[in-house]
Amino acid sequence: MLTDEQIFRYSRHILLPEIGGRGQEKLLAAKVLLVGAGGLGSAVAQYLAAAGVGTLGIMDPDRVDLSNLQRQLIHTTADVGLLKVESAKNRIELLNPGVTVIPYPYAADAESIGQILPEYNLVVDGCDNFATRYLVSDAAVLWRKPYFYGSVLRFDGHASVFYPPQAPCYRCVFPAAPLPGVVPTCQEAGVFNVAPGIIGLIQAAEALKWLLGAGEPLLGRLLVFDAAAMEFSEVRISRRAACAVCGDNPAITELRPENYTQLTCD
Amino acid sequence: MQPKKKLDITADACPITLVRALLALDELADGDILEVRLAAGEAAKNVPRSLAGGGHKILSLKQEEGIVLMYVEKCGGESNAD
Repeated sequence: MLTDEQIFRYSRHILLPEIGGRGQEKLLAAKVLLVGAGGLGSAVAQYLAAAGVGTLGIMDPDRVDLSNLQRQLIHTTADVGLLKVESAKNRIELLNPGVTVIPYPYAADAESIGQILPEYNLVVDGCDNFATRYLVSDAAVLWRKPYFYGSVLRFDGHASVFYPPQAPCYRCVFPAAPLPGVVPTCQEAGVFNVAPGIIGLIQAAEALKWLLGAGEPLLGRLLVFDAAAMEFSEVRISRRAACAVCGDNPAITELRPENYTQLTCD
Repeated sequence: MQPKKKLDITADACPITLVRALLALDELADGDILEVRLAAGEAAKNVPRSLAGGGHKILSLKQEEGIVLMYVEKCGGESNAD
């Protein structure tokens, strides 16, 4: 049963036939793991928290830096120097004290993700490097969790929902990370500040829809966003039978730390 | 016409009136009847219209002293009722 406070707080969602009181209760019972409390994570965390997703696990090893504030709007100037997971937790508690935030102030690695991910319904990717992305994606395949992908660089962004076998996994589409130096890091290339906000909100929308069972999920489609042209386009993507993790004879059947060494971008 | 559940939303303002009515209908099974006490005026106009728009059946609307008594039959949708 919803409390009176919850009825008021979530009234605009309860009014939607796709959500209603029952949908709101689903959100309150949901547990979402967010990897990264940066630009994507700022948008994802605030909207999931405001929507009343009951438990948010947030993983990030970094501290808030002045150069983050241009696009990582969950953090404020006063938070510079704080752990991002602490800063995010503080902000979420102000936004919605009904949400439980579980901070994980360290990087996702083979051991930690294997312990943490099984506790959650789904995982949202707000990370900024290929090693973590492959790790989280492979873990999501192995533990059969839907993986809400997003990434941004300059004016461009991607989003999709990866969930084999009915949809591809990240590795089906991007079998291996680019060699170090081929793709510029965020630090070198820059990021148009609204790009992670827009992509992060697409991830948040997909995560909420998934939890509610509402609408059509972004499965088997890679959404490609160009803020400079202000265009969205879609690329059809499908599962590869030869995929190393979700294929018919997968080479990756467990997470081995040596497969996820840091490749680029910090 | 025996109501399965009674709801008084005379103290609520729009749209919490509708929100409470929807939540009450959630608890009922298809075909069950909900009795709702509404403040006369805006709520008495909007809530029945919205519920009818959502597929529920307004069985009666009766003006009493300063309030409107509505009987609505739940039609369609999932149910929390056991």
